[in-house]
Amino acid sequence: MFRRACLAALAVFLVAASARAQGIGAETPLRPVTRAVAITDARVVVAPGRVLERATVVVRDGRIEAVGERLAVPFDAERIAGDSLTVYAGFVDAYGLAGVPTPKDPERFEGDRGDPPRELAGITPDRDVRDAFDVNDTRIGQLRAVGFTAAHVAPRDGLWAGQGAVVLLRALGRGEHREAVLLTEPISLVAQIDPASGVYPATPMGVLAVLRETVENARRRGAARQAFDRAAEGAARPRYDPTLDALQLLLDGDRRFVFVAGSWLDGFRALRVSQEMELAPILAGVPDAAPLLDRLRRSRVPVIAPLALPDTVKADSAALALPLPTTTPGSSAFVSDRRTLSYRDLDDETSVLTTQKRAAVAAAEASPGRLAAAEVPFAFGTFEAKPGDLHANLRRMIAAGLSEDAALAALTTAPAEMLGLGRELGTVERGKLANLVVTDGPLFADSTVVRHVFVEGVGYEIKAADRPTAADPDAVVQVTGTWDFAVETPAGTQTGSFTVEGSAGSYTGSITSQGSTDPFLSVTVEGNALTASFRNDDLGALTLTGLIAGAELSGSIEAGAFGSLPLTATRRPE
Amino acid sequence: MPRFASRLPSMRHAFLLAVLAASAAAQTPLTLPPASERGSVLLRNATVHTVTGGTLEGADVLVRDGRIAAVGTGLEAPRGVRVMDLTGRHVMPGIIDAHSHAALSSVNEATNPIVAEVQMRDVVDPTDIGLYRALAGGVTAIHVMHGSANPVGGENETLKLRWGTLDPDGLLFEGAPRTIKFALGENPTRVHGRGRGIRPSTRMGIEQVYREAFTEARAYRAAHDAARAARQPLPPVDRRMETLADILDGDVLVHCHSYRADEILMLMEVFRDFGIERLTFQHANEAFKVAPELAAFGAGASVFADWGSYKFEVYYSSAYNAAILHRNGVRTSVNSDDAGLLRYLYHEAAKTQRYGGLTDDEALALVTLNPAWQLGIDDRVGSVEVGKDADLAVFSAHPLSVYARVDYTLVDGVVRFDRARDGDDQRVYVDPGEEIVTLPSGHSDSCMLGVDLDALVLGD
Repeated sequence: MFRRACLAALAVFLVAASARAQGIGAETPLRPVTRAVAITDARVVVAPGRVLERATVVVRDGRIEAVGERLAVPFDAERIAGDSLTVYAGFVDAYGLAGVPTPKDPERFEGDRGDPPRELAGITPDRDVRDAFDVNDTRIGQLRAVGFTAAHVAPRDGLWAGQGAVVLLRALGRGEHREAVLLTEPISLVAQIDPASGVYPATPMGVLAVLRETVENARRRGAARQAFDRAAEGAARPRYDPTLDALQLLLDGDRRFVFVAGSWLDGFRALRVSQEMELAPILAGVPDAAPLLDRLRRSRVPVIAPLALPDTVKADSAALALPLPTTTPGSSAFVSDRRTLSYRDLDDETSVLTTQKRAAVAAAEASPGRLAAAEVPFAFGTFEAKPGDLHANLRRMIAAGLSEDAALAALTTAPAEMLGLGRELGTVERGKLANLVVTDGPLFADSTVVRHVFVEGVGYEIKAADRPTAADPDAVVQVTGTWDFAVETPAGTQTGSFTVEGSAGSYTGSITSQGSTDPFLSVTVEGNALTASFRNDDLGALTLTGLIAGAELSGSIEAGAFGSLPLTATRRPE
Repeated sequence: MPRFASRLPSMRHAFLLAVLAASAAAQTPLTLPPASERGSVLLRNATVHTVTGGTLEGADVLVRDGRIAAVGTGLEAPRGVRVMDLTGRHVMPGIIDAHSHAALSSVNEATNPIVAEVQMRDVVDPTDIGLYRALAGGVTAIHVMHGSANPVGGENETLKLRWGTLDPDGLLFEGAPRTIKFALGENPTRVHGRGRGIRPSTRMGIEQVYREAFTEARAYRAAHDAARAARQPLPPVDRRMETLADILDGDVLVHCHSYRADEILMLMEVFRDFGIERLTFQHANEAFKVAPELAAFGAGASVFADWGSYKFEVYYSSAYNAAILHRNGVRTSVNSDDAGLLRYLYHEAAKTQRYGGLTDDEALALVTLNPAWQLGIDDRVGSVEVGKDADLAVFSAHPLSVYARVDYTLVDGVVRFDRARDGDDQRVYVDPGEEIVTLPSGHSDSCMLGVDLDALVLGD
């Protein structure tokens, strides 16, 4: 409590100081005319399954002041006519990376690889995400434009990555210090099977060994400290240890233990090592939880399910004619006889394999629905998903069996509860933070778009240009021309240009960066999606993918072992 | 589009539907029972190679709840127990590979000369299709090992091939003792000495790594014991030292990668000095030179049938290695250390009859009872005996014949490989992001450079 008061005082001081330092200039946001807003006569989804068909929501000073039918609108409130609109609680991202910078590659390490500094080993449970949080990250606006208003964000790398906190996804107001968007102190401590690069622990098995040992030593240190407090004479002095001090927070129950697993197999490993460490985890990031369902149900472990989905599979008519095999154990089998007798069967082989792959994609789509059916508590996290895909992905998950109420709960009430913010976030109720999503129709309908988003009472009107581009196979875009691009690499931003010539079906081109030009080996355009592959002497096979909106392209370069590097490009005027 | 497919769409469709109809009968991972299943079955009228009790003609093996309940003739199946008529077929204990790196997500934690704290059980990957292929070679258990980059590697794991489970723990051979990987010679000196300029850069250095580590582990254990006795808080745990101390206490069996006779003698000397008894040398291509010394120590040897000369320290190799070791009283096994060879361990065992004239039982023991002994599981598997686990391989002919092939493989009495019902796609899990390649491009990269294989075979 004392600490909270100190923080509040500090915040006031910092706000005052920064306002004075900034002065009034063109960059300074204007003070809002009013801090009250009323959305009148709208359909209000108070919580999943609880709907007011024609109600007014009044927001003041960042809180929801009133929700109800036949409410008087305060005289000073800005009015938004909600006749054709639906109001939902703002989405809460249970695990996001918006605003969390990618750590730079470390300098080449010349010391003992078997005993590196703990930061190189990835042992940084004391790292606080708030220290690195970048309030100007463009991803924050992109996620907000699709409805996210608050996010649990956590440091990216390392086996003990560090501590996560909940942030509000809004821009800074007039005179506000960057700390203003932090909603909580650290609430979580993140573990992941993320081996170090070239130093110990460089393998998954090394990571798990370190996790066990550090937790055991945190326990022993706690016991040693207690013994020292009882009788200091002659006892060993407890020494400062940032790793074990941070882990003590976990043992004391002051942090949620979030274990990020990139696959169901890592999920099994995470569950077992958690059990051995006698820690109750939240399992985050498993793209297909079906193999883990029994385990999750029995161990009562909650899940943060990723909103990303694997790409849908292109299939020709012959492949589409095959019934989709289910992947439920016992109920049916994969198509099992795919013997390639001769070259004549290659097409059949492709069809059967394509069908298997479609079933695997379907399993990923069905994963949230299965979690719901198994009554495993779960919330959605955006992780590294493309903001433009999120609504389409939700529709795919719902088509695969997730109920709309369960989907909404996993975006609102469930993450709020999971993060310990059930009293502040997750529903459209009096007294809660004024985090709202206002749409022009039912949230999960195909044609619905987000019109307004409120974050702590600050309203954002979402215009077409704000919406992140989604893949659209029917779109018609101009791809030919010369594009200037910037790509984010661990070594910094690299710039260059690429050119696309020709016409549909026979595009060609080349890419120039850092003085060398490589021809595109293939260029395909589907709707607004560009895919171009090329080879580079240093990096090997590379693929550039991106979505085009007008003269802007956003996407990535897939660079094999280097992973996916974010890329933006602008077409030069002709 | 290839002309063939567009000309005959209906035939293609018919083929696919036939495929689907046939698939109902096939055995695939998803039709298999869970890893916890223990089967009951009566194997009737087979030639049974018991390994410990000779070869029984026209014999029956009764399996109840995953264990062998009876071996004899004229056995009756209890109510509800399935009968498999194996007339003309041969039954032997499931094959055990004492040296494998299958089904692992990582093999070497090569950053430190000693990594006794890492465990292969943490990185078991039950989706490795190599497990199913091993079943097709009559293999029922494998010893998955840490690599040979370090003088002391991580703890290995003994697995049962309960193909079909996605839970990695479903594969663990429950109750098998802990084992650990050690490594001598060129690999650790290359990685640490030449690679990083630290000890060990020589065979002498490796010996000192062990002597220092065990001395330190003794002190570590003593400090913990003293703290416990004095009811003081325990000092920090060091799992590396814990495991080394467990080796000193005899709780962990050592499996040591080795080639040369001198380094084999060296390690036995070190172990004598520290009172460590359970030791098996892996590869051990020169073990035949020190066979009497190995026998006197009570060490085992797990060797290749006839593989050598792949690097300098392996030049002095002999296909008679296994036979010489066996004749000198060394508990010897033949291993694969290879995803492909894993399926042909019965051929590897048979080579000792050509090179050394071992009897059928002696040769079969090299891939069954002897590796079981080296892994500390010979009370559970390795022979066809009442009370042992029903891990069995059923062959179409004598298993040491080149004409033999595996028809069934049973693990815990459950048929997990059935040649007659062998579906073509045995993957346990399909990656939704996989790239579908029906015609590998490997050929066109080399001898068929620039040739469009599709166009060639389809006649366009």
